[in-house]
Amino acid sequence: MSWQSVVVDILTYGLLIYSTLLIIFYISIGVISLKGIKLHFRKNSFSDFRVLATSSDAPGVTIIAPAYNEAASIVENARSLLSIYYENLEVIIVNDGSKDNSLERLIEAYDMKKIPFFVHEQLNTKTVRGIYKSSNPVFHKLTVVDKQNGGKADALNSGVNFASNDIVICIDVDCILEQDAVLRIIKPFLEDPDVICSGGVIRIANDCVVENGRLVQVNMPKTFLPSFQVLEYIRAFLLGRMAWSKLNGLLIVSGAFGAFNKNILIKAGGYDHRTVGEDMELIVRMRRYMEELGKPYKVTYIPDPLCWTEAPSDYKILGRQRSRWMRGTVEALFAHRRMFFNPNYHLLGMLSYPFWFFFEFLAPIIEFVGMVTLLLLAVFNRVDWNYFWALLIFIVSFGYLYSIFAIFMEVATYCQYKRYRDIFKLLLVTLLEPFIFHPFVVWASLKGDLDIYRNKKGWGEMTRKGFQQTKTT
Amino acid sequence: MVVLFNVEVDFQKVLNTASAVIWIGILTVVLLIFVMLTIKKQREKTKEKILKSFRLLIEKALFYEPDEEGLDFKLPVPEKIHKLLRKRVFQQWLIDELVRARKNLSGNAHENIKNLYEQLNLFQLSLKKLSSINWNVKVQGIQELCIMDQSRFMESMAAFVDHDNADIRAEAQIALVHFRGFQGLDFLDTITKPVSYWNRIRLLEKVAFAPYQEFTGLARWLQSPNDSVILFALRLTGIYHIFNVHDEVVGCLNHGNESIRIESLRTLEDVYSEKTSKAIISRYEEGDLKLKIAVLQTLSKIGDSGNLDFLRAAWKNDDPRIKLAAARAIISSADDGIETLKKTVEAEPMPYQIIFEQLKAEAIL
Repeated sequence: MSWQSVVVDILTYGLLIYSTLLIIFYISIGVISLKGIKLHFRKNSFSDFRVLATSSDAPGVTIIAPAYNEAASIVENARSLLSIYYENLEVIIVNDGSKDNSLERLIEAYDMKKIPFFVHEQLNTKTVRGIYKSSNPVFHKLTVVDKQNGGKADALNSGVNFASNDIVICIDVDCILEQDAVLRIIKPFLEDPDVICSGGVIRIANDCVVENGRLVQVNMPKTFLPSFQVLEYIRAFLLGRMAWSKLNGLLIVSGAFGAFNKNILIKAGGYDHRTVGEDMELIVRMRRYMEELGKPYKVTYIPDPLCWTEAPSDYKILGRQRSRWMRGTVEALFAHRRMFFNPNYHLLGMLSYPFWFFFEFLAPIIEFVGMVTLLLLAVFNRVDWNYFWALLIFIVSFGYLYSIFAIFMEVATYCQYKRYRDIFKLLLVTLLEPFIFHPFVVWASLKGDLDIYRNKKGWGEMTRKGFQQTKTT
Repeated sequence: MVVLFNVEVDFQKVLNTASAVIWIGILTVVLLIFVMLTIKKQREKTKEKILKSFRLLIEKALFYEPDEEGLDFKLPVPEKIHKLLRKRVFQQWLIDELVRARKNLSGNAHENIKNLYEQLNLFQLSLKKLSSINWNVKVQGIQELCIMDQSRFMESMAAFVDHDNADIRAEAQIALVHFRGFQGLDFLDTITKPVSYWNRIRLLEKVAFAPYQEFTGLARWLQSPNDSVILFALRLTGIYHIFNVHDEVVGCLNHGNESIRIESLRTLEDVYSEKTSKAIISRYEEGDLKLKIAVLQTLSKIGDSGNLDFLRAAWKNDDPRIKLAAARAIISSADDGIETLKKTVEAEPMPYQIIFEQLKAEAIL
């Protein structure tokens, strides 16, 4: 047997095993998520959340919203947070050294006064310049922490230091939360004392109608790029995360909306400001902490659409976002490489971590290597085109089936897109995705890998268009 | 042909067949999506139409009064409604509407909703649900019977009070308290399964609406082998200021479960006596950080000037969280709180003096 045939065999069998495992995982994810959503629906069909909202015995909850240069919308965003229906609520907005007049706008709008405040820094952060509380009792729930710029993770840690409640909800300040989002996301903590973290679904709000800080009409985005992301989010949140949550193997809770047991968050070390994937890294570290402690724990997930955000609508911004996500994934996986196939970490070490390693981190690289190999083989006329087309059709078809199953789950459960044209659009983006959106995401992810190699830090600029606002008269 | 693990496989044929199967799957799911969407839309339309008739009936029921006093509730129900109610799904829609209406109403209207539910024999559907094999249907049945005040079926619901399924037993416990008020809490004597925090909140809300009766089992519950029962009993003790179980609450300070130790301190804020401070302080030294802070918080609520020496000593602790809690307690325990704290803090270096500034500002705000 020549070395060439050995290499070809390794590649052939390796890729065959890889693809087969991937397909098995995706089928399993589909089946498990179906069960998970069914259980969630049944469980919540008879829950009366109003009891929780008004009860003085409900646990205190602190919402932490970091803000950087958000002057244009910070007052409205704070108002939206203060209007959340929950008795024992504290809202902390962390002004992360904004260069604009975010702080001044908050001070003016809410009669904020700088107060002396002693804080025991359980998590190290950049210097806090001041703490502001409102002199108007109407806004007694609001605290503003003004600090030197240190990035999102640093701002969140600062908020955690000042939080007076045992449950903290970390959100992006420009997200739109559903009115009962807090009630729904904290319920798992009340049902099971082992819950250390609860994540929520993020949905795309581009071209949806927002009225006084509330989302009042769900629309499919008018342009293609956000539409691709709608499909992608439905697939990721309704299938992927639901299934991993059902297995108690979830490795990520979106930074845009997640609730945490504050004590565990602090004991695990808080958000890591050295990574751009602080949301994933924190969950991995909290889980690792609990595993090493040998205590039972759960990371839960609520599939209800609770939080709406604006997705990037141009390729430049999207590319930066996806590169950053990949960098975050690699950094989190590398930081906790000790768990890789380590049976001491149970499901986390034997399944969750390897899945992320092989099918999230390696997938774009393998895809890229595959493309390059194909090109080389084509140049040397070594491609059996009949096989190639059969394989390509199979893979693309399987991808279609998975996406279409996700759309089916969306229609069968939350049915946010009720118009036929919205469904047709979702089907159209499903057909186009493998040829437009997916290659772009693979390219951006590879760029993220390269950025790691070049030791690139930071988030890169992220600009948003803003929501489609209407005001009631 | 490809040789895979020494077996000749026509890989291309396999792939083509698999792709064909997948495409059949895709087309089926696409069809299902549109069928489901159409059914959902149609169902919404039908529901809206039928609910219109139901809502008209409910409106009539709200203001209905029998012709003569003492006569039974007998609302004239159109034949159309009777016809609709032959279908189980429509019965359920009406029950849902009645449940929603009853939750939001009070007085005569509240009672009339129940009367209508009984007049239309809808309780039979709810009752049937209790024997369903699906746990969620059982829960729904208990909830409906409870909201519609069907106390005659209480025993059937009571059977589920220690059920393996957390949602079923939670609903049954709520139903018992709903029907029997404080006496309904007797299930706490026997349950072996945990009462979740979520359900403890719901039970407290339910109890709050019941006419007050003296607790008979509180002392027993405070010594229950079921930790969640103790936690619930502690909250009841605090909320209703049941001073005669003070010693049992103090006994809970030694419990092996940290949550119970902390909750008992919180409870003592509401039922303290002259012995309380001493009992709490005696637990301070052996406690961990969380318990120490909780002790200081409780002493801050009790506000006994006799504790000042202890609090000054606590202030000397190196942990700033303990310092802050001790400072708060000093302010509330001394007659001239801020001044006493100022004197205590004066000797301390920065940054601890800022604690004084903070508490002073809090007092002003």
